[in-house]
Parts: sequence; C-alpha cells; structure tokens
Amino acid sequence: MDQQFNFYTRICGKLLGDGCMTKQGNRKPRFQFMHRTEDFGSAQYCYERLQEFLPLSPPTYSKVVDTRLIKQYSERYIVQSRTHLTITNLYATWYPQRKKVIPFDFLKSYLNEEALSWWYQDDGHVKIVNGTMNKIILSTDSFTALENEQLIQLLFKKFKLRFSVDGQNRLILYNQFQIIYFLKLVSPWLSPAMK
Amino acid sequence: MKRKAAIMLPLKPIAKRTTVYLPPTINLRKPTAEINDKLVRLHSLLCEEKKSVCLHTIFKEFEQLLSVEDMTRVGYQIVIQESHRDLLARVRQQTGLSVSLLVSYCFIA
Repeated sequence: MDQQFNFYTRICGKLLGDGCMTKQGNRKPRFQFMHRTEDFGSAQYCYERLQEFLPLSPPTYSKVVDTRLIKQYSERYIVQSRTHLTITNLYATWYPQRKKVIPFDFLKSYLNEEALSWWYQDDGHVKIVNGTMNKIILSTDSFTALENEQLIQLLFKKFKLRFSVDGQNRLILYNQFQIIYFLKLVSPWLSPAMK
Repeated sequence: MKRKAAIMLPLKPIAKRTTVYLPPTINLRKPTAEINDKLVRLHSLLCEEKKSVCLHTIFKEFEQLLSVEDMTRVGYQIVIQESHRDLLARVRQQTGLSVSLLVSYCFIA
C-alpha cells in the first residue's frame, strides 16, 4: 500500500489520541506526543513508524513538576518534531482556530483499522471484570458531545461498530461480540508493549 | 500496558438441557430434533484448520442478525447432543455470541 497513505492513517490515529500540535505566536506549528516512562515502548513504536515522514527527535526523557502527584513530579518520554510543511498543513486541518477540532473529512479518508489501533492504544482500554471483557472504552472526554456523536456515526459507517456515549462523555462498546471483533480489528498494529 | 490486549474468555461448558430463545419466524414442532439437526451448520463458521472461528466472516454474517430490533422471542427447552456441545462452547468462547443467537444463525444460514 501507498506509504504516504499509511503515514496519514497513523497520524490520524495519533491525533485522535495523545498526539497534539503546538504553535507559538506566528511561528510554524510542531507536532508532539508524550508517554509516561512505563510506556516508553509505545513512544518508540510510534516514533519509528512516523520518523520516515516527519522530522522527529527520538523519545527523550524529561521530568516535570506535577503537584497533583504524591511524588510531586512525573517522568515521561516526549517525541517532538521540528517544523515541516506537512505539519503546517495538518495543523490547518486539525486546528482551524488554534484548538483541536476533529476534521471529519480527513477521518473519512484515513480512519482505517490501523488508525483505529493507534487511537485505541493511546486513549482506549478494555475493562476486564471477573475474567471477561466487560467493555471497550475510548477516552474521548476532551471532544465535544457533537463530535462524539459524529464519531459514533462514522465508526458505525466504517466498521459497523455500535459505540455509545457514557456519562463521562467517553465512547463505549458493550456488546461482547463487538468487543471481540474490535480487538481483532486493531490487533495487527498493537505495539509489542501492549501485548 | 496489558490492559489493551484481548484476553481469552473462559471456556464455559454448555448445559445438556437448556432453553434457547428464537425469533417467532422460526417455527419448530420438534425443537430438540430440529435444533440438533441444524447445529451441524456451526462448522461453517470455523476456519480451515477447524479449530478457531473465522472472526472476519462471522462478523459480516452476524452483523445483520444483531441489528434486528428487539422482538419477542419464543423459548424452547431442548437437549443438546454431546457432539454439538463442545463446538457450541468453543464458538461462544471465541465470539461472545449467546447460544440462542448461534442457534438462530443455524436456521438462517
């Protein structure tokens, strides 16, 4: 398959998940994502699969003050990009008013199984209760209710998956059969750290 | 990070005597005999090596069955032949589908 297409599917999944773009003043935007130190494997996995297309620095350790935590700091690995035309274009698509707004036209083109898998690895998990898979949760609480509604429709249209929204504005899959199917769809792209 | 990967569901045995709930469109006069007859069709859900279910095809088959609006279902108390019980248990374990839905599938397929 077209390498460029693969890149856009990965970036689609990453931007739905933990990826973000920052822009200072009139400078050009940069792309970045970070993971806690325990998830270094995930940061490395994504870095390796994006670095061919974007000027990225390898995962770099950093320690930041976080007073919400008992130990008062958090440790993480951050991957940052330099500026690049592709990032500038992606920024215009994903951050029309300097704030992330889901570009549904972009998703219609690039939200495939691999994108779903990248998204799930960042913001999703499967809840296990008494040895069975109770539900899949995609933590979409930072998106608006309308965006989540549109995401549900798109997920149904593309994959026939029937998500619903819970009280915390997250997307949930309850049906046992659909849970198993969802995990089968995303499994080929799970990073070794997730298995 | 293991919380993201699928886990294998426990293999729960199928009771010999059980009740299945089928759509009213399936009309049965001798439920035990007729259902046991049809359960052979479950084999078509298995991959070539006959051990695991082909999830990709099964999803397409069942998507329609699952999308049917909730309707009243008719309960039949039946005895499932031993030869079918093991297969039913494995298909249920691998797909999460209920025995009733799997039996309905056998009548529609």
